[in-house]
Amino acid sequence: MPKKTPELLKGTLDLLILKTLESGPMHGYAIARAIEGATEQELQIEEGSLYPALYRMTNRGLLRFEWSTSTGKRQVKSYRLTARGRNRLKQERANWGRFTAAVARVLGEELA
Amino acid sequence: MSWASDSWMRLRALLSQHDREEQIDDEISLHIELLAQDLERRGVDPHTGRREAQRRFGDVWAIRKELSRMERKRVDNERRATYSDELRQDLRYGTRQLLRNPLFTAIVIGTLAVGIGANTAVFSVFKGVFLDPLPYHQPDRLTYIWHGSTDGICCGPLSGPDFLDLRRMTETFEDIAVLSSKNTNITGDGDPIVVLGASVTPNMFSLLGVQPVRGRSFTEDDELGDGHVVVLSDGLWRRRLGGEPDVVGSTIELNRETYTVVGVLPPGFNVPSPWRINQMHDVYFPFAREDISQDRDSHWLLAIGRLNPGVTLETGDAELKSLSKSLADQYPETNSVKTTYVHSMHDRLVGRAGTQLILLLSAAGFMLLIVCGNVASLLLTRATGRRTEIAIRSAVGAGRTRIIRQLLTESMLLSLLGGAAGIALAFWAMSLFRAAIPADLPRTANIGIDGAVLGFALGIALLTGLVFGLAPALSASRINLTESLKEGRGSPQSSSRRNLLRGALVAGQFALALILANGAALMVQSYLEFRGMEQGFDPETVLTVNVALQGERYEGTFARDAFLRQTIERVAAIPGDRGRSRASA
Repeated sequence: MPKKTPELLKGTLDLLILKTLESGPMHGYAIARAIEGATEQELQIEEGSLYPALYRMTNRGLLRFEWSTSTGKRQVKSYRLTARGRNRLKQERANWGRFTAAVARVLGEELA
Repeated sequence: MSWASDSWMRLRALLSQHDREEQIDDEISLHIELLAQDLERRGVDPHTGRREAQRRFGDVWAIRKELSRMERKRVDNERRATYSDELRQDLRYGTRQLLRNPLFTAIVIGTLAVGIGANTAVFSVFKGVFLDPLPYHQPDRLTYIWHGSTDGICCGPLSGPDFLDLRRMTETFEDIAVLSSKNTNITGDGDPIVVLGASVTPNMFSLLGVQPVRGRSFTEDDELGDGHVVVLSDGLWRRRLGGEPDVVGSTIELNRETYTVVGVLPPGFNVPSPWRINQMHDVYFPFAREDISQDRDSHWLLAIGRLNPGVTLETGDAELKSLSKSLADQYPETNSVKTTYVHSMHDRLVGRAGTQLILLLSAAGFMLLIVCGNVASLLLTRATGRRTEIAIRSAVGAGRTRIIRQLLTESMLLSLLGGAAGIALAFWAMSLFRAAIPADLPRTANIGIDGAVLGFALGIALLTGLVFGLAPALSASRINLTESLKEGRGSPQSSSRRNLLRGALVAGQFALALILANGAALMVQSYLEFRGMEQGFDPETVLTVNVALQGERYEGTFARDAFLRQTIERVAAIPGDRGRSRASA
C-alpha cells in the first residue's frame, strides 16, 4: 500500500493538468506520471479521475486533442493546451499564489 | 479558408456513438496497460502488476459511463456549432447577393410587403372582430334568448311576464337577465348631451361576470325602490364627471330628474346589444318590478341567458321551447303561436362579420399566392444567371442539400424582410383605413396589431419564403456540372425543364388572378345590390339626428310635437337645407 497522501484540493487537478501540458502535448498516462513525478508522489490521484477532468476541460475549450499513431501501432489520443487554456493557467496560477499566501498567513499567526 | 478547415475538423469529430465508445475504451485500456508495464519493469510480477494497475485506475465502469456522457455532450455542441456556422455563412452570403442586386431585392421585398401586409391587416381585423373571445366571464356560455313564432319567424324581444316565467322555470340556464336600451339626456351642469342608457334587471352584471369597480351593483331592493339610482360606465364617469373619485353617492341629473350614482363599471365594459353595434351603454337604470311584470303581449326586452356549465345550446333551446309550449297552454290568448329561440352570443354579435371576413381573408390569401408565383419566377430568372456560381460551389464539394439550403436561406431572408416591410405597411394601412371600416362591423374597438397578429405575419412570411423559394432552389441545384462549367450557360436539356417550370408558374398565376378578379367582381356586385335593396334612395345627402325627448317635461304628446316643430323650423333656416322629415320610435 502506498503511504497516506493529502487529498487533492477541489479544482487543483485542473491546475496541475494545465501546468503539465504547458511544456507540450501529452497523452493521459504521461500526464498522470508527470504529475506524480513533479509532486514526488506527495499528491497521489486516483488515476481514472484524470480522464473526466481532461474531457471536461476539452469541452470548455481549454484543451484540444488529436489522435496519432505513435510508438507501435496503437492509436494514441494526446492533449494540448489551447490559447484559452494557456490564459486560464496564468489566471489560476495567480489565484493559487494569493490563496496559499492567505492560508499560510492564517496558519502562521496561529502557530506563533 | 479557416472556416473550411474548422468545419472539417468538426466533421471528423462527429462520429457515431459506437465509435466514440470504442475510442474511450482504447484510451482507458492503454492507460492501464502502460501502468502495468511500468510496474512490471519495477519488478512486480505480471499478474499482480495488472491487478494493481486496475486498482490504481479506479472504477473503470463508472468512469467509462461518465466519459461517454461527456463525449455526447461535446459532440452535440459541435454539431450545433457547425449548423449555426453554416447558417451564419449562408446569411452573410445571402445578404451579399441581395445587396449586389438592389433593384431586384427592392422589387421582391416590395411585392412581398404588399402580399404579407394585406394578409396581416385583414387577419388583425378578423382576429379582433371574430377570433378573440367576448370580454366576459366564460363567454361561450352566453346566449341571446328571442321571442319568435312557432312557424319559424325569429328574433324579437321578449315580453316581461314571459321572461319572468322562463327565468323561474328553466333548469338549463344558470340565469337570465333582460335589457332595454333608451337614449338618455344628461342635463344639469354643462351642456346637455344624449347618451345611450339601458334599464337592466339587477342580475345583469353578475350574469356577465363583472362587478362595478367603485360602489355596488344593483340589488333586488333596487327593483322595489323608486328606481332613482344609476350605475355609470367608466367612459361616462371619466368624460362627464372628470373621474371624480368620490362619485359614488353623488347625484346626477338625467332627463331633468335627479339620480343617485351607486356604482361605476370597469373600463370598456358594455352590455352588448346586437341592435346597437359599437355603441356603448353609458347609464344603467334598474328595472322596477312592475315595469316588467305586466302585459304579456308587449315585447320589448332583450334577453341574455347564461347556460349552466356543460349544457349545449341545443339543449337550452329545446328546454325553453318546451317551456314556451306550456306557457302557450296556460295563456292561449297571448301565447298560442309564441316560442323562443336561443342563439350563441358570439354568433349573433360577430358571426356574420366573421363569414365576410373569412371571404376577405381568402381573397388576401389568393393574392399572396400570386405574389409567391411572381417572386418565384423572378428568382428562377435570376437563378439562370447564377448557374456558373452554383456549379463552382458544387464542384468544390457542396452537396445538393447544402446548395438547396443556401438558396432557401436566401429566400427566407427575402421573405422575412418582406414580412417586416409588410407589418410596417399593415400598421400604416390600419391607421389610415380605420375611418373607412364600415360602421356595421362589430367590435371595431378591439382591432389592433398584437402579438398574435405579428406571429401570424411571421408565420406567413416563413411559409411564403418556403413556397416561392423551393421550386427555384430545387431547379437551380439540379445541375449538370461538366456542361455548366464548360459552357457557362445551361445545357439545352435542363433549360427546357426550367422553361416548363416557368410556364407552369405563369399559368398558375394567371388562373389565380382570374379567380381573384372574379371573386372581387362578385363581392362588389353583391355589395352594390345590398346597398340598393337596403335603402332605395341615395343616402349621400341625407343626415339623421336623434333626440331623446324624455322625462317629465316631454311627457305629453303636445310638448314633444311642439319641440319637433320648433326644431324643424330652425333647421329649415340653415342655408343648404333642402327638405326635412321626422319619425319617431
